[in-house]
Amino acid sequence: MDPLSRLTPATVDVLRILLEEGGELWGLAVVKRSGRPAGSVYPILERLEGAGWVESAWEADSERNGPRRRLYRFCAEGADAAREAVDRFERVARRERPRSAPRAPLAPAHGGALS
Amino acid sequence: MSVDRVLRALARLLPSGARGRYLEEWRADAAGAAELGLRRRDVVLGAAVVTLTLDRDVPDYTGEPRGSRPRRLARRGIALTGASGVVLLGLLLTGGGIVPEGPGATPAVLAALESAGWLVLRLAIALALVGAVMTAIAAFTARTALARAALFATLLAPVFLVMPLAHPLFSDGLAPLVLAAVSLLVGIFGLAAGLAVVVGSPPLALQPRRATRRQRLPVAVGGAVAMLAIVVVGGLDTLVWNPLAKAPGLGLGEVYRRMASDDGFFLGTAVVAVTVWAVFWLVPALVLVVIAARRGSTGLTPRRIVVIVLALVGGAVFFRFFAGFSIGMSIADTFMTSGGDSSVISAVLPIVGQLALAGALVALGWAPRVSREADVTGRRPRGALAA
Repeated sequence: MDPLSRLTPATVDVLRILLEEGGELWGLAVVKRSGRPAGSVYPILERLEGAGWVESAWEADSERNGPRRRLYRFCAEGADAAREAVDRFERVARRERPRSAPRAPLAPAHGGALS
Repeated sequence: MSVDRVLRALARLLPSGARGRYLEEWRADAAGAAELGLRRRDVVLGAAVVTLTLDRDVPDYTGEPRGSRPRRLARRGIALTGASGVVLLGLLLTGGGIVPEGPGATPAVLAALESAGWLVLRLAIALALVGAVMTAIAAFTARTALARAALFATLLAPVFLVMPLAHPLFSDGLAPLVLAAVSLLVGIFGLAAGLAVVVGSPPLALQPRRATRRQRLPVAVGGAVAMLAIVVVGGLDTLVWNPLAKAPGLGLGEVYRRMASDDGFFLGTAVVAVTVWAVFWLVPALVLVVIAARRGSTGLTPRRIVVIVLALVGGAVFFRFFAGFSIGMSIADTFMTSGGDSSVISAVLPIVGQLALAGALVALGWAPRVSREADVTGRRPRGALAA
């Protein structure tokens, strides 16, 4: 599993949603729940998958005809790393908020770069 | 245009290994968008962003180890940039190309040479632009800071090279030479840093590049024949055609007699110089044939032979200047002409030499990619042949 090259608020939102779900979640459902555009969420899912945090698979045994939906879930170590990343992001955000920064700056995790 | 058609078009922009997966995913998302209260257009926009931002170096998509793509792009981009530099430098050194004089320089010949020069210049610019784009992509996708720095430095080299073409200010006086020198320095820095990166990186020789005797021998023989033609034509031009073009109306014997009486010219010395030049450049091409004929030389692929032969052709044409220097100066002193060459062949050979060197660089950079069947873990597949 590779550290993420950057941790944006949108990435944190995606990580939170997958953590809340706890299991597999349709990619478009992540878009819906995050309230962010697919143009933001799709690349994040692709990046998380490329970094080995998330894995995806086709939905199994669907009664629907047509193309299969792609479901995303955390890899074995991905959930722990995501929890740590989200916590760290929120801690930094809380620390930075009084300085009138609307968006928290990024902080390193895993002894290296989250960003 | 239907959403499905747009999604298919976007999927075509993805690496072949990722195409099927993302197209089906996007189609399913588009089909189910209404179910979640989303618009199909949102899915299309998301797909468009993925085509732009997708990590195209993923082994599952490329069939190669991670890092292969930026390295290959860098190698090819630098090769194209170098090829452009060689051609532009050649044009600069020959003042945009030698203009022949004498009876052979008919209007048709002059027009043909002018057209060739026009084409070669634009080819060099096109090579520089394509090389810059490839190097830029490699720089953006390189995995280390040193590699990125090296590639961005290499990117600057063609910028300096084309500056004299962009504005008169950069083409006045010594400016083109200075810019070419700066370009060379920047390019050398980029290359040196790039070599440091390559040397410090794990090797990527995943697939043996081998050729059978039947594949390599005809190419080597053809190369030797081409080299023989170059040294024969170049030698004849230095000793016969160019002196005749410099002193129109005189026979060759008369030209040499006057050079001997007025300038103390000794023909034997010029013949020896030209012979040494011819042998020096022809022998390696012949040795290449011998090596290619040996059964064990499987690593000598046709592409590698082409690289060597083209480099020999370019070198022979460039160093012909030195072989013909004394005879050229004697002609100039005897007939009060310029020391430059004037024959038609003298105008054609530099173009051939520049294109040969450029071709050698491009062929050097165009090493075949690792096949999709190759094992991405680094093991060499058995029995695979690649040019």
